[in-house]
Amino acid sequence: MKSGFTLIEVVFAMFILSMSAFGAFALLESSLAPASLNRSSLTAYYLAQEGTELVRNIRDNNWLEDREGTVAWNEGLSVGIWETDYDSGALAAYTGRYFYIDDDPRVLSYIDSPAGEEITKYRRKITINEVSSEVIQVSVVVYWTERGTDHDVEIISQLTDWR
Amino acid sequence: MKKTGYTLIEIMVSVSVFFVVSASLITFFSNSLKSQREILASQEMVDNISYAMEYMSRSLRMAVKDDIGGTNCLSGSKVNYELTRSGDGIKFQNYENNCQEFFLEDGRIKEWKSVSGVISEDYLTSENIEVDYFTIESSGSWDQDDDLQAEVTIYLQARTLLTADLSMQPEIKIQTSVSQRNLDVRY
Repeated sequence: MKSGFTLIEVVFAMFILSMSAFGAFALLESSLAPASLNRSSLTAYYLAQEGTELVRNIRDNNWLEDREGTVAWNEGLSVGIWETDYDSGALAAYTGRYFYIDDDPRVLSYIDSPAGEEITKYRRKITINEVSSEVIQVSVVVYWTERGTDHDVEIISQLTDWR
Repeated sequence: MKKTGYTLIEIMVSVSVFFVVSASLITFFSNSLKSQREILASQEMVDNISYAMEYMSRSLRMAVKDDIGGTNCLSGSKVNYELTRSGDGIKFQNYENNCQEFFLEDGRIKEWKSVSGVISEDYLTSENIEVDYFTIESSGSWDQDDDLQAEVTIYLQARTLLTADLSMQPEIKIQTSVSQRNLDVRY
């Protein structure tokens, strides 16, 4: 009597073995992803926070310039979809630009003609809606893609003309 | 008579199968340990940087203008913030009217504070984290007569020192800007 395994049996056993090994490695790989997502989320959250502060800064600048009652509190803050970076001082129409890491000074900003600066995965959209003549709602969303998945964080704040 | 036992070939095959399987198990185990170390290091860094960013941005946001100049906290009069240590530090009068400073020293963020004459210095980031960049930008908004609300941008770039493999060191690049809460009116 012939004993031993047939080819089919061997192939089948090896298939099960390799599947379980593959599964184990996939598990290991996927357990690393949340750690990196954690870091990106923190950066994204602070970029969103920066967005609300930059819009608030424009409102405060309007107040400061308004010594003769000629500057509206919401000048430059009309309803629409915008983007801006740390030293622009004004909103620009949203085009979905990515942030770069500028070299000198080292900051996250928009660079229109990059010369070797490192691009980041983040984009920031600022949406302004009018609640009343004295209140606007500012929604800041930061988008990024990581390991093939889209992520975003959103911060909403309201600005008023209540001095 | 029936022969029992294994042939040499059988033993060699089974031993080699055993070695291959155990080698891959050991690799898997050591990789899990490595990535667990990396995850823990990354988490510690995120917690730490999150704390430092939150603490600094809140303090900077609530800062008040130093209207005395030189005698109190900052060297200039009626300025909101001042760069120190050739751009590696920022000094200001905090909301309790104490003099406070954040700066980068040997790859760590440090806080300097003077509370009614008592000076204290504390690290905000752990020794397990190397801060490679700490940028402070004013966007030209820190003077009295500029009609600009004072704004501070801080950028931090840090990596953990807990994982030995340099290329695998988790790194974080983070930035935020704050607009001072106190309105920067002229007087």
